[in-house]
Amino acid sequence: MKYAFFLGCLIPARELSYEISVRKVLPALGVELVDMKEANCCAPFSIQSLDYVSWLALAARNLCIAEEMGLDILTLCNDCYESLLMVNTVLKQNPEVKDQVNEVLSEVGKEFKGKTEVKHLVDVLHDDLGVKKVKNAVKEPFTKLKVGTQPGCHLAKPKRLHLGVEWGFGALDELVEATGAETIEYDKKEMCCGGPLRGIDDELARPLVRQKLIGLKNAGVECVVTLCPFCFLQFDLGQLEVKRHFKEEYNLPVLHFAELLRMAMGIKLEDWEIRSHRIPLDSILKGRL
Amino acid sequence: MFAIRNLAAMEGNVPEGVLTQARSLMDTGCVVNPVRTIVIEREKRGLARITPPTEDVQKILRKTAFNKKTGIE
Repeated sequence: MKYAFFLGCLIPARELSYEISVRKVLPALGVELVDMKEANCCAPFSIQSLDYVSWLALAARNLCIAEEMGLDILTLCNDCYESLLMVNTVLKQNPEVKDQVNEVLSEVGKEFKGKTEVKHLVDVLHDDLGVKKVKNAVKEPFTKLKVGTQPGCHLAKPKRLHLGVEWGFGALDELVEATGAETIEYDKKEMCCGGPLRGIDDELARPLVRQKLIGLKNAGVECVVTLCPFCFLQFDLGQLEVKRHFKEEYNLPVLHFAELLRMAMGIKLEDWEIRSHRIPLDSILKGRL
Repeated sequence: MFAIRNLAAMEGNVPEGVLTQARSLMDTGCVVNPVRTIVIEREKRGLARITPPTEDVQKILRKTAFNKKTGIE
């Protein structure tokens, strides 16, 4: 199993522990990652709002690189996933739009042919490898850990491209349970955490994550596990902002799913990775250092 | 929906945070760029340097007139 590895902007620039965990976990499960050299920004949805054709062309350039590599794309970021998946679908289904985008791409010597598929980490773990294989790789299960999952909106919406909210949310729950942890239902689970609003409208973003934190705490969750780098930032750094603005403290450790799986597979997080989390991980690291 | 948003953007109705992202994309090829400590950390951990293809991104965005439509150049 081999994929063109697309990192995007945010993860290699802010969330190294996520990237490193995937680079350790997937090869251990028999997956080969081939870095996409010269890949550009995905481009995110904010660019789509500014100019649709620019958004199509930027994402299509990345799809062309994967086509040249003869591989499907694997991305870790929900925003990148949504952009790449949507553009791949639009261009495959609309020959006129494809021609328009290829005209733009000719400026940089590329041509979209429609020969690659776009996959998120969860697609690879849940569908390509399978939950059973993931479970079999677990050596140090997180027995009794109560987890609230936050897959991220773009994993499940819009429905026309995905199998629906139930799939997106259910797949992560199944994977978390494969690590031995228990998934807990909580109020506002399917609501956006406000991550995409960070830096654009913080006053609006903050109450959204606060509502989710209230739901998580009331449900007795001990740890938040996410697949999305924006959700991670919003829950991890966001808790400090909620503390400052609302004078409320939740102290809920936040992990990328890849970090949880890595530890369950017996591959320890290094000190600097642990310190990169703003909310201390002490309560879930007991006996794992 | 995209068309309405794009029209609003052409008329200058864009949140400053989104314009900042657009400028960063045009200038560096990335919306989010690594801070110095991360660059050092990546090097220490043996991870590849982040080298976005800025020139290609700029060529694409000039071809689509993104820079003019958004008023960032």
